[in-house]
Amino acid sequence: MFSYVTMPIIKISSGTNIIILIFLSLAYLVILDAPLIYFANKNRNRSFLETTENICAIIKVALFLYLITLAYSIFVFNSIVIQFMKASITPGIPEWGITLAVLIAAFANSYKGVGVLARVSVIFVLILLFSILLFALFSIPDLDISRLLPVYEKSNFMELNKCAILIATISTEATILVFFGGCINEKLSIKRTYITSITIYLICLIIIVLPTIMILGNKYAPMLLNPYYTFARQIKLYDSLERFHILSILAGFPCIIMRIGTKSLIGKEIIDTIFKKKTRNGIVILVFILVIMISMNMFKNFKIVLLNLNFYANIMLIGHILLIIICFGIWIAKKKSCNDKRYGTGGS
Amino acid sequence: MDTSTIFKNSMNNGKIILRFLLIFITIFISCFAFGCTGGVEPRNIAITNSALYDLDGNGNYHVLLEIIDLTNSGDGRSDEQSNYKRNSIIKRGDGATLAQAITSISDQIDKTLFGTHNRVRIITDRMAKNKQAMQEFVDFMIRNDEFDERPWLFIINHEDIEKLFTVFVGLESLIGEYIDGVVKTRKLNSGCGVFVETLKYIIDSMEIGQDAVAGRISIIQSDDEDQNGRKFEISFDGLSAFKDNKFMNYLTADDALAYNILNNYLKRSRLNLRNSDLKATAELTNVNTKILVKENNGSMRIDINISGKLRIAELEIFNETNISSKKLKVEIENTFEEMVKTMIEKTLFKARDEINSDIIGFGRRMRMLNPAVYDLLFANTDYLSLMVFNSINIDLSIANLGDLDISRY
Repeated sequence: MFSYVTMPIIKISSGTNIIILIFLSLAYLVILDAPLIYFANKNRNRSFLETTENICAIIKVALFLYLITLAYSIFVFNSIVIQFMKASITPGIPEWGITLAVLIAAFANSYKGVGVLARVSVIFVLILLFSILLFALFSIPDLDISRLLPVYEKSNFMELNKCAILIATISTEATILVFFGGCINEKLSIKRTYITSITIYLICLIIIVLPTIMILGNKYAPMLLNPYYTFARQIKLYDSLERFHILSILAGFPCIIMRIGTKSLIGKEIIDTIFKKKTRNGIVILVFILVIMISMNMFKNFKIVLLNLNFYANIMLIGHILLIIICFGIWIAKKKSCNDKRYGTGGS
Repeated sequence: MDTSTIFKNSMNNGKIILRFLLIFITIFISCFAFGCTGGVEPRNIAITNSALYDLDGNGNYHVLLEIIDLTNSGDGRSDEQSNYKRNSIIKRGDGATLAQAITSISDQIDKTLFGTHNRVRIITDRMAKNKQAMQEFVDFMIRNDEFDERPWLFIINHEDIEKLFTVFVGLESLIGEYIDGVVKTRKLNSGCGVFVETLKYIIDSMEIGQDAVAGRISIIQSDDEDQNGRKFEISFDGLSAFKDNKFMNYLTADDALAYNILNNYLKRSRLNLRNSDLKATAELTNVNTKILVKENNGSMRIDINISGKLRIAELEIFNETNISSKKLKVEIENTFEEMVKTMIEKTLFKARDEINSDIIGFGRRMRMLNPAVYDLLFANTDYLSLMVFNSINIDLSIANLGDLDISRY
């Protein structure tokens, strides 16, 4: 979802070596997600709270730190949406108004829990995928393939890999499977679900990023707040269909709201785990969203740093590593507990 | 009904109300957020239809906006009944920067300026010749989302500014609409003008190994006056060549045609030929240009291959009456090929030697294929002097000799 709005692959790479970065970042994405998918697969049919029965204080601290990175990612998500909406669509509406609109809608979506959110997302994500396909098809007459060339420009090997890792950490969605893997239909395999989602992600990335570069060029696109919106604005379809770029917002906006809702639900799961108690959806999510709103005002002066895409990607990388550590910690705790039970040392 | 049931029912009602409230808020937010007018009522916006940018000798910017007058619309009658035509007002703003000049216009009018429906941007040649001013223009366009990148971009002689808003506008009543309409028609039917959107100008001005171009507008005296007493009309022939974001000079209609052929932009164009043997008009279509740029002993070797189809629209032979159709076909093809070759050579040499600008983007082509060699040999030099036009091959074939029976010839 983040790839759709801000196109980190264009911005972090400054528009160079795009084709290489698409595949390299995908490779890193699979590598980074592998431990999480393994963990999710091993804990099928159990909620995250049930998997974390015997965790130590260090894991709780790690969970708390992960919660902070999660809150920060919601803050960035929300801020970027607001920044774009305010600059391009609704310049007359105050920032708090849009924030409230986004967060109320996110709260309304996540209030009913992950099941409802998943069912609603089936509708909105399909609309989004359809709009992406539509824009890609309609842009064909205007595409200039030469703008993708040269495929490989002189670049530092380490720098290229660093870019790919940062793009992968921003794009990863495997976290959902870690926390809500237990909610997936028993007949479905986690691995297969992940492979399907990765394939859809790759196809979407190709038909979002490449046409954008082919129309806007690799120098101009990284400068834009929302390159995909500007790309959609250029589609004319032989002068017969103009100004339907708003479809990209209509399709994307509900998905962004749902993504914020999902992140809030993950936050709720973590709070439940830390306090070892199942709390009410509404209260925790509301508190979580309020914290974000307060933090928005508190960190107003640091916004330029906080909204820097590279900074965000680095924080997300830390968050991802923390989650891998948490999963590893839970796995060790579980193994230890099993050994204790087997050798009868649990009570001694 | 006992108290607990009433309580449960009221709780359920409360949930339903809350659900409806949340749905209502979401719909309401969506409705007021997704307007193309930025939350301003349409009757309170001043829609810009065309914009002219100028820079005087003192470094002050002057902006002229053609704003659509919406006050006499919506009287309930159809356009035909009310004989309604959209009028416009021209507002001028001055300032040390473009933003300041536009703000001064905004201050003069009682409505919110709205630039997303702008059709045309026209820049005077004296502003375009100032590199810093053009960089400011590009910067201004990128930073302001309200000024979208779709309007056509033209360069005009600064002495013609006064005449521009008094020209013949065909069946339209607004300059912006008129130019937009003409461009859309001429793009399909003629290659003698170059029509560039602001976006393409911005992209080309940032591109390595490519210089940007813009359209050319010149005001010419009309043969006769129209019913509104308008004596001038707009000519779109030619193009405006830039180098490093600085306007260099105008090129002619033939150069524009050559530019369109070389960049594969040509859809259809008519070529006229007249010599001692024949007089012919042919429609040039299906043009396919392949440009190969290679490094050769430190120079940039360029090979150009052009193929296309000719449809004869008019043909008159003066001397030979017994010429076979096959021979005639070959002769016409050769003559047109020679004509196109001369035109292209002239444009290439003019762009390289006189204008000193790489408007075709040979450097970009070189960099696309071999970035390492480009960076090593040409990136830090003015590679125009290193360009060698090795071969220009034109292959035009006649698709038909017209609707008449060719055995007649």
